[in-house]
Amino acid sequence: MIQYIFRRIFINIPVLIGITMVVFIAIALAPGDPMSSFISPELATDPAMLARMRAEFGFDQPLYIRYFNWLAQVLQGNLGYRIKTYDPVLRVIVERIPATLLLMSSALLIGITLGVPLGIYSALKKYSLPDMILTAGVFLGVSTPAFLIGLGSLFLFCLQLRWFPAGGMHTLGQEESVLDTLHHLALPAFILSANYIASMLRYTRASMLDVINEQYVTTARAKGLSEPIVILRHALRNALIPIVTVIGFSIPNLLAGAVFTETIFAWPGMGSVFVDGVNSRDFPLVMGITLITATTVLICNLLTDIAYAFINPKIRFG
Amino acid sequence: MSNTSTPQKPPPPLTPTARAWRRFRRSKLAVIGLFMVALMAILAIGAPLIAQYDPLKNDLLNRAKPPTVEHWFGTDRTGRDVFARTIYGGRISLMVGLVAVTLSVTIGTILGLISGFYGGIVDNFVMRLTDVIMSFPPIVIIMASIPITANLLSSDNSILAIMAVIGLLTWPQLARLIRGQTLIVRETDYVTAAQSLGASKARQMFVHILPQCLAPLMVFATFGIANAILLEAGLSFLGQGVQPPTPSWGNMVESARSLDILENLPWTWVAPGIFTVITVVSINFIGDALRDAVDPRSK
Repeated sequence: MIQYIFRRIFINIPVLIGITMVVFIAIALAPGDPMSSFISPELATDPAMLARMRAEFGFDQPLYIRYFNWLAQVLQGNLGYRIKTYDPVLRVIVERIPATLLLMSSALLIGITLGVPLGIYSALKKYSLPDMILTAGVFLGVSTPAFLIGLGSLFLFCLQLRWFPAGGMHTLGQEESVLDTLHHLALPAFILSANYIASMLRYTRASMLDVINEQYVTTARAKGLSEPIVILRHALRNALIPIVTVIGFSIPNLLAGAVFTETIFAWPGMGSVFVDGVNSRDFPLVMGITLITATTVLICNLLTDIAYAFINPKIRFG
Repeated sequence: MSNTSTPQKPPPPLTPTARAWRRFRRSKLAVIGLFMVALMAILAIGAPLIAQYDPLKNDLLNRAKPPTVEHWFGTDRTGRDVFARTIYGGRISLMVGLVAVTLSVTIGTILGLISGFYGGIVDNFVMRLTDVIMSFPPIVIIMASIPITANLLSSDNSILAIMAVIGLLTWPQLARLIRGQTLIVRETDYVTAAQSLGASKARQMFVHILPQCLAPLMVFATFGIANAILLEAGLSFLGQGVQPPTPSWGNMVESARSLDILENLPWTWVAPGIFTVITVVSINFIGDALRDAVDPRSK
C-alpha cells in the first residue's frame, strides 16, 4: 500500500515538471516581455535598474537556463506582478481561492447528493419512463454549454422571477451574513453542478448496472436479505469504486465550469479574474492561474488514485 | 423449367460495416440526430442562398425588432437579421469543429500508433506528454494559448488561432485510445506475418494496424466535433473566440452578457443558443449509437 502510494507520487513528478515547462514556454512566447513582470515594480523603477534586476534574476541567460531561474522564483512563491495594478500574482490568487473553493465544493456536494441517488434509481428502474426521462436529461445536461444554462437561469430566476440576486457574493452596502452569501451562492452553485449531476448520474447508472447482475448480488438476495440492504450494502459498495474515480477526475471540468459561472454571476473567484486577465493580456496573472490550476488537478488525480487504492481491496491487500 | 427447382442461394454474409450500419439504424435517436445534423449542415452551406438578409448589414430603421414574418428570429440592436446571423454563425461554428477535430485526430492517431508500436522511451515520452496536457483544464489552457498563438501566427484571423489551439490541445485522449488498441493489434498473427514478409514499419502501422483502430477513432471524432463546437462557443462567449462582427453561435450569445440585451432582446441570444444545443445533442446521439454499433461486444 505504502509502496503503491510512493509509486504514484513518483510517476507524477515528471508530469509536474512538464506542467512547469509548458507554462514557462507560454511565458517565453507571449507577446510583450512577461519575464520583466517577475521583478518587483518597486525595485525596477527605471530601465537601467530593470536590466540589472533581470541580470540578477538570471533572466538574460539562454532559454534553458532561464527556465531554471524562473522555476527558482516560482518555488519561492514569486509568480510575478500584474501588468497594470502591480499586485503580486500569488496574493491575487490567494485572495480569490476561497470564493472559488466555496462555489466548487457546493457544486460537488449538490452533484453527488443528486447524481448518485438518481443514478441508482435510474439503474433499478431500467428502461422505465422515469429512467428514460432522466437519460434524456443527462443528454441535455451534458450537451448544453454551461454559459447557456447560466444565462438562461440568470434571465429566468434573477431578471424575470427575481428570486435570486443577479451577481456578486454579497449584497453591497449590507453587512456580510451567511444567509446573504448562501442566497448569492445558490444559483451559481446549482448551475455549475448541472453538467456534473448529469455525468454523476450517467456513471452511477452504468456502474450499478454492471454490478447488479453479479452473482454476489444474487447470493445476497437468495439469503433472503431485504432489497434495500442488497442494493445499498452489496451492490452500491462495489459500484462506488469507479464512481470515486469519476469524482476525482471531474475536478478539471468543475474548474473549467467555474470560469463561466463566475464570469456570468460576477463571482469574485479565480475564474472571473482569469477571464479579466486574458482579456487585458495580463500574462503573469494568466500563467500564474494556469500553473496553479494544473498543479491542483495533478494533486487531485494523485489523491483520487490513493483513495481508489483505499476503497479497492484488490489494491489495498495486493 | 421452374424457379422452384433452382436451389435458393443463401444471402451473402453481411460485411462488418453493413452490420454496424444496421445496428446504428436501430437507434431512433441516432437517426433523428443524423437528420438534424444534416439540416444544420444544409443551412450552414446554403446560408447565402437561404438568408434573405446580409448578416453584417445594419438596418437602422428595424432595430431590436422581435420575430416577425420578415425577420423570422427578429433583429438585433443595430438591425441585423438574427436568422441570417444564426445560419452564417453555423458556418463558422461547424467549420471550427470540423477543422479542429481533423487536426486533433491526425495528431492523436499518429502519436498513438507510434507510441504503441515502438514502446519504450518513445511510448513513455508520449504518454507523459498526454498526462501533462490533460492536467490543464481545457478551457483554461486554450484561453491562455489563444493570444499567444494569434501573436505567433501574426494574424488578426481569430478563427485560425482557435482551430489551431483546439486541435493542438485535444488529441491526448485519442492518442491513448489508439495506443491501447495498437498494443493489442501489434501482437496479432497477421501483423507478425506482414513483418516477416518484410513490410516496413510505416506499412505495418498504417496499413495493418490503423484499420483496426478506426472504430474508436470514428467515435472519438464524432464526440470531438461536439466538444470543439462547445469549446468554440465557450471561447467566443468569454471574448476570446471568433471576433465580431463575424457571427458565430458563441459570440452571438456573448452579446447577452449585457443585462439589457439579456432581458429585453432574448430572441437575439436564444436562437443561436438553441442551435448550439440541438447540434451538440444530435452529434452526441450519433456518437452514442456509433459507439454501440462498432463495439464488437455489443450484439
